[in-house]
Amino acid sequence: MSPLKILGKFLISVGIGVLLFLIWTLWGTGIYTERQQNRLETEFAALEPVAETGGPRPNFDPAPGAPVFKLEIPRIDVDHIVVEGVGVEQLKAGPGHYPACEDRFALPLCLRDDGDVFWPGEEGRVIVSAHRTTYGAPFWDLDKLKAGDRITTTTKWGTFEYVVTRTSVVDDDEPVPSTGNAAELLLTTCNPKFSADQRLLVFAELEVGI
Amino acid sequence: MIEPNRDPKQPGRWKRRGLELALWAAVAIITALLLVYASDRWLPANF
Repeated sequence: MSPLKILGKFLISVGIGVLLFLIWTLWGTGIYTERQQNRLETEFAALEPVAETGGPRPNFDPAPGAPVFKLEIPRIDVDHIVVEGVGVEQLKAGPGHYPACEDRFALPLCLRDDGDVFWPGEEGRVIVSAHRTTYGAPFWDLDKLKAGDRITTTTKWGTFEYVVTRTSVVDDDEPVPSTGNAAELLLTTCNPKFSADQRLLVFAELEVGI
Repeated sequence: MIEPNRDPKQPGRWKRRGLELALWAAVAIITALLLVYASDRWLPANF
């Protein structure tokens, strides 16, 4: 076999490899996330309710990847279990709740750097990040949310409804102004689709705790 | 009719083709796995 023929067959094989990667990225990762969500749903349902406090237990510090609350956004068909942490592995399983504002999670998204973490229903900024594409793409349609749309978070200490107040697109290193101690939910994902140049932000304010 | 892989004029021809096909399939699969590994490491987490 001539070297040119070998090179040709090699390039065709590499091309098929790239195609397999695209199939995995666009569809296979979604199947993976769906399975993870099924597992998380079961784990979340098994968690003990925290009825007496109306908030998370003192020193509530779930491990990365653990289910922490349920996020429902009827307008864009989001119904996912949120996991703790926004690392690569955590976001494969579903939307991730930003942990304490450490160095790598500093501005633009965190308000404080004293290690405080905010949970649904509390005063402060609760931040949830998720994939815009791949791994089930929970926030694929996040740009379709408009002021007035409702977001429901179901925790083990209550159900809290937020109402979208505004949306914004910022560069990935652009600070997001603080809103003080308002009970706020901030959803964030990459923008535009298939790019990470910017962040799409959706701000919502706590309306009612059930 | 003589089956191709039993053609006495070309012994082992189909076996060689099979091995070659397996080699190129391995190249394709390794390429895909390398891309999955690279994308995990270098693509932004919430891409």
